[in-house]
Amino acid sequence: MAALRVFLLLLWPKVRGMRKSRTFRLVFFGALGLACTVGIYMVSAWFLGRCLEVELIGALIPRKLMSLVLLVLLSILLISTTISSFAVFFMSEDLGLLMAAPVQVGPLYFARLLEMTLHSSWMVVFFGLPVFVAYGTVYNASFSFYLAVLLLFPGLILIPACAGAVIATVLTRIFSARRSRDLLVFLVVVGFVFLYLLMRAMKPEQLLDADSFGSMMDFLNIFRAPETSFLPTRWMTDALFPLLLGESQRMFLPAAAIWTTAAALMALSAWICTLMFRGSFARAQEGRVRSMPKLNGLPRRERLLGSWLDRLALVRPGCTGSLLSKDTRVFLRDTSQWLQLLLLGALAAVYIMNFIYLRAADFSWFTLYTVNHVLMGLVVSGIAVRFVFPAVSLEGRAFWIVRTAPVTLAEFLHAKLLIHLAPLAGLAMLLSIMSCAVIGVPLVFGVLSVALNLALALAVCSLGVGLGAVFPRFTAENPAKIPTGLGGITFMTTSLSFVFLFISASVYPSYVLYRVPERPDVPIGHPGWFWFSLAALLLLAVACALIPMWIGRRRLEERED
Amino acid sequence: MIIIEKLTKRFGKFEAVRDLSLDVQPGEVFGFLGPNGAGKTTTMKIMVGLMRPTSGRVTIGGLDIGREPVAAKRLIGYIPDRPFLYEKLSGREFLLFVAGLYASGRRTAEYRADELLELFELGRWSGELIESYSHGMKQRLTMAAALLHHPRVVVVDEPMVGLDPRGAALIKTIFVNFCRESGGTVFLSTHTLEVAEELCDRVAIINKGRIVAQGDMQQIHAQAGGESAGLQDLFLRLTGGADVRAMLKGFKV
Repeated sequence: MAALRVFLLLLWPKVRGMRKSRTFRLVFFGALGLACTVGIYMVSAWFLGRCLEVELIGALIPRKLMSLVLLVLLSILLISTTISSFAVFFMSEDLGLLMAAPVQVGPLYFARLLEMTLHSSWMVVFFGLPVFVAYGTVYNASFSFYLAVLLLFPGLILIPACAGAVIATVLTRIFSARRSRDLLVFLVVVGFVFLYLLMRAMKPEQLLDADSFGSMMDFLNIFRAPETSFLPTRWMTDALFPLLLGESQRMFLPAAAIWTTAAALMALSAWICTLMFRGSFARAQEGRVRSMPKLNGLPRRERLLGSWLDRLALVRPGCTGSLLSKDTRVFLRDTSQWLQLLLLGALAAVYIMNFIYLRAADFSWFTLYTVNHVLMGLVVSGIAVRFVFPAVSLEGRAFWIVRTAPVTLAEFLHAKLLIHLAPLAGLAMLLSIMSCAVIGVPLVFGVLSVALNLALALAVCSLGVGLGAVFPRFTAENPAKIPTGLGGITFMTTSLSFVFLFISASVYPSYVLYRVPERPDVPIGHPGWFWFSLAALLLLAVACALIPMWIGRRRLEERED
Repeated sequence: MIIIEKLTKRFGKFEAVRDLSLDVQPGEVFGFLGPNGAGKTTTMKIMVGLMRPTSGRVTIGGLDIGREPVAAKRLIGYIPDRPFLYEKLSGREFLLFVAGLYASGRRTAEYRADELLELFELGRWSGELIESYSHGMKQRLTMAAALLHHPRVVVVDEPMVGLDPRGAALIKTIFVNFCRESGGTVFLSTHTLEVAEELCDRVAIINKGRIVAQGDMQQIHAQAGGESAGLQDLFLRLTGGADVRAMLKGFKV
């Protein structure tokens, strides 16, 4: 009873903290979440309905799909719970106070496990549940199916959560929390990049074309491939699917397997974690900092880079050199930040590979050229939300240094823009040139494409820096969380809207240039439209480059913290 | 050197600073005392350009911080009460970054950075990442950064927090020399009344956003009721701290 009281007491501050969320945010995120949930439900229901209409294999696809969805959800959960465990169990600010107090490790472990499980799984549940509701609707399932989903999901979630807590505790005991997390993030990113490239190389679009398989049996075998019976996702599928088909008596054994495994893992993880917690916590304290060797002790290459960055820090006029030098160092020393470059590399490779596959299909170069711009807009926005939008927030609590220095906020924001524009524009230009070469567009269109993508990169980059200043999160402990809030969503919505308008405005002048040499005798639309489209393009790019920066500067000037 | 005129700062309905006026001369160590929440940090944040006043103005070396912030900031070195720094930089890299913000020349900056690192006894740790520094080391690094560009005014919020006695003695000597030898001005807030008595030429006591007493030590002693009474007595009397004994009556610690 005393342990339960301590457990509830430890959860109380977290519940109180949740209640402080602002109403506007709750309404905004609630509406957005509801829209996403409804969207996922509708797409899933539509897709499942189509699947069931397919002859021969129609009944096999939904079961395979459920199994795949569960496997993906479980993998994501295992990764996110393990990474969260490092923060919640060993790097949280309040642990010092709690460890100094006469608090038993057992209730502390269970309180943290519950917090970590809820924190890392709510999104998976939120986006996963509509899929299962869609299954229920499509199969006309009875109430027992929905009840089973609600009863079995917590058990399924607890399995990766307990595993994550044990992995984090053991790794921290060996390597310290910060290094273990860095190592794990590194492995996850490398694994993700590998799987991503592998998936792309498998050309999943072939599944849509049964003719590309040697025989019907090859195609059917994909759906009949056996799944290991030791996976909890298999138990979940085995428990839920009979309910969809009205065979409820077959669900009990797999359902029992899920909950007994979850209970056993909870007991086992509690035993391991309580046994190792104090030792791991002490190790985590030792490893909270990472020392750096003296400058003279570094290898020659790093010494040169250090010396070059020192010079860069003192380049005049303006603060661009100082900020670039500082940002480069911080970026290279923060594993969670530079590891994202691997993802970028994979993204670039897949981007070019896509056009190689698409070129093989029977599309005109102009179609691919236009698609290229749309995709480029999405890629630039995606990169910007990860790297550009957090630029201001990453100054963190040390922002007072810039605020009290003889530097205006306009200079500061322009410096941030320049620092982030150079690599973003460079990447956009590189991808643009490579994709144009792969598609085989004429030189004039290649140059036009590069110019359009540079303008797009400038506008999106300004939008990122500007909105990053409007919605700064100086107190965010984890840089990866900066783009996940209201600001990040606002940026993505605005950026994608801009990309849509910008690319739409670019289609007409490009089409005119495409058609005129082929059929000069046929007039295309009104000549005024051509100039109007160009003016709209220019206006959009300039507006998007200037307005967010202006608003961002004003908002930063108004801040008083 | 520092002129504060009718400064008022409101946060909604709450008035943190009310009609505050001060005049600090060059070469002076000025102590700004007051209980928690009295308005000290708010006043100092306005002085260094981190906040904007609701009304009134602050002039540093003849430059209005509201109208000419960039020029005024060149004259100021600010040391906040909590040393939030860029943890992934080494001490030396941090100082060179700050020198870059103040547009210092390369040779001067490197020489000055190394000189200050030695002065604040951080030379051995100059290549270590700041995240591995103790609170006191970070505090000393912040002070080094504040003095890097040869400011004429140092604004310092709680200078002694986190410093060991050796560090505290060093800082006191540096502040006194900065004022006596370089003609600089130090505006410091502190809760340690002994520090104020030892260092400050003049002090002002602020309570609930208003100056309730100011003057040199003799004047303060006189206001406190004679030579024998000290700054603490006056402070407690003016800020309501005299009730402490009454509050503790019947309370078992």
